[in-house]
Amino acid sequence: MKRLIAGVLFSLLSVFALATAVSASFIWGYQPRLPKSLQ
Amino acid sequence: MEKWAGKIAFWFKNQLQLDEEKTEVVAYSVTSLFLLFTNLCFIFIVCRLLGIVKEGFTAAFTAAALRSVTGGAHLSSSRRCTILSCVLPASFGYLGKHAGPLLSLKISAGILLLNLVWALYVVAQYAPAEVKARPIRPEKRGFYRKAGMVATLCWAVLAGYFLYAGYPALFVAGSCGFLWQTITLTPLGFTIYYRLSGKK
Repeated sequence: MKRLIAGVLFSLLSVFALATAVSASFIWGYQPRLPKSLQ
Repeated sequence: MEKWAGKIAFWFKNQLQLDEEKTEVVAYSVTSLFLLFTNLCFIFIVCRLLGIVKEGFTAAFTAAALRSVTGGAHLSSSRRCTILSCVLPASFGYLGKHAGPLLSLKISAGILLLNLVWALYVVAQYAPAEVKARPIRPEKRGFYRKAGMVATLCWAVLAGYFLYAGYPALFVAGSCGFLWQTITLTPLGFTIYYRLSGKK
């Protein structure tokens, strides 16, 4: 069960990371370093 | 913040046997989500206290929409960036609420036109403005520049609507947010952010 929840959360976090990587910049405040795999 | 994100990413790594690349993506995503949430909360709290939620969020979202396609200068730490991202929209919202209704339609239309010409010039000249933490691939630069032009024209239509529909406060707040975002694309904007980052 824990693994399933982790899997779902991981998918959501990955989609969010991809969405922010598509934009030219983080929209508010600080820009965290974009991982190389998303550049 | 980075420590928490690292710990959360490590938990995912253990649960799902992730490799280093995927763990790094999780850490980045957690950090970004946290920053987005805290920025929005701070903007809301300050604007609510000043009674300018609509105006403050208009300024913040206008700047954010352009920033998402043109990039721009960033401060050196999340704390400094959060403070500035909260103070500026609140100031623009406050200015909009109090100065907006005082402007005549002719002056407002003039401001809209000047802002539009300035924004198109800056986007054409400097967008996309990248930072070290978020490099932009050369083949993508043209796309972001065109998207910046489209965003500028969309903003002009929205600003015109605010003006003629009788929302001068939202017009002024949005215009200030937009103007500030265009400044962060220029060398002057990078210099200001460099100084605000505590560097000399």
